[in-house]
Amino acid sequence: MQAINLSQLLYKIDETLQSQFGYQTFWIKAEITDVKKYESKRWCFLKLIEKKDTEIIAEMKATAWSQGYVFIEQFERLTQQHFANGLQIICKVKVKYSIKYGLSFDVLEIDNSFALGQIELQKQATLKRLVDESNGQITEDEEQYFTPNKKLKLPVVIQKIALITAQNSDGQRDFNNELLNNNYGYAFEVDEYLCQIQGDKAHENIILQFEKIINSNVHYDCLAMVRGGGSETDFKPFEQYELAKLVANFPIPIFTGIGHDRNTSIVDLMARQLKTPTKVAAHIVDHNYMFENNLLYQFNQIEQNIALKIDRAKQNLVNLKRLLQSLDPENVLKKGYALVKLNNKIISDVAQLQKGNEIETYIKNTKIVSIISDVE
Amino acid sequence: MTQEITYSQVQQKLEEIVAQMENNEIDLETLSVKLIEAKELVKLCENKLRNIEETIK
Repeated sequence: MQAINLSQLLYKIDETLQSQFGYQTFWIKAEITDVKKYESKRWCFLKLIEKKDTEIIAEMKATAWSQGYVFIEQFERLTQQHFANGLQIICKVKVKYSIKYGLSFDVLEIDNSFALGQIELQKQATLKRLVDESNGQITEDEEQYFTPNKKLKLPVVIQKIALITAQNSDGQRDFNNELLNNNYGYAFEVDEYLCQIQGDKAHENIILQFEKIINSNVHYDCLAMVRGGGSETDFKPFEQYELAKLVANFPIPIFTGIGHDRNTSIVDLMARQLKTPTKVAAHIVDHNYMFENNLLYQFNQIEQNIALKIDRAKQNLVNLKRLLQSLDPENVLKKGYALVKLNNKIISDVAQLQKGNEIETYIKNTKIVSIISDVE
Repeated sequence: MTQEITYSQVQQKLEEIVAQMENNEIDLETLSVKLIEAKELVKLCENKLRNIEETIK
């Protein structure tokens, strides 16, 4: 038996593949797994797989060199998600064979519009499930979501806050700075519930913090969930059904400031979304300022009201004094009028007088007694 | 415990006297008594207003 070297056979395979595929490229649809990115080199190693139900029926190694890596960066920029395991993509590949490393694909291009569509579809499916499985608790109207959490009334003054954020993150710093150094000198009590809020297991960590908050039995006025700094792409935890459902039904009003201006996550839609940690803190400060402002306004109204009442009372008193003065008989007599009395009674009608009556006439400082000689 | 008379009650009393005087319902003798009473009521009103103003300042 004559044996050939391994490399000889592999070269034959290489030749065959070359003649069959050459520089041809193919658009293929596959799921990605085993993704390993080397950001500094701008390479990405991964596996392309095809599943039937849960079983993998096809699998191929692939590499995105810098040419293909451009599309991965674009994907992450557009979707604000990591290019990570489990994604369905459509990509342009070239068959590559190496006698040392075997068969693989070079990923030359990725159809990001498909990836975006897939993510949007997934998002819509999650939102629909949230509504469908909520027994009418979560409703949607013109892309606005109404949840039990959003319907919770905020107390007129917010003082005790539960904060979910990552330790030593920009989000934690920004939130606390804005809140605790507010211009009005309002005092707040913030209990921090710190956990990883990025990465594959992030939503589980966050859910754990929600449970801790409930189990603490502390009466919080609101809950702030903030993230800032770190990766600009890893928002996947905030698209998770379980976390979104928990947020939608949580019994403490929730503000989200998870730091992405372009997109709105599902969790944002279930709570009061304020985009950034600073904005959440500023909103809470404003909320309390509104209360104080309203209080000052009411006080001012009361003051004005009292001043008006006093003015009216004073005016009324002046009028009454003037009337009293004009009705005082002394003052009437001073003006040259006279008062006539018969039998100590004021005569207001001449018919009461008869010839021979002794009457008293009062003029200024003088009393005259006289007998009536005639009445005409 | 006697309850202090309110401003409105004093004012009403004063207005009643003025009305009676205007309508000649009071004879001359009673008039002077009523006049003294009315002047006291005016003083009481003025004092009460002053007190209210000082309280809210």
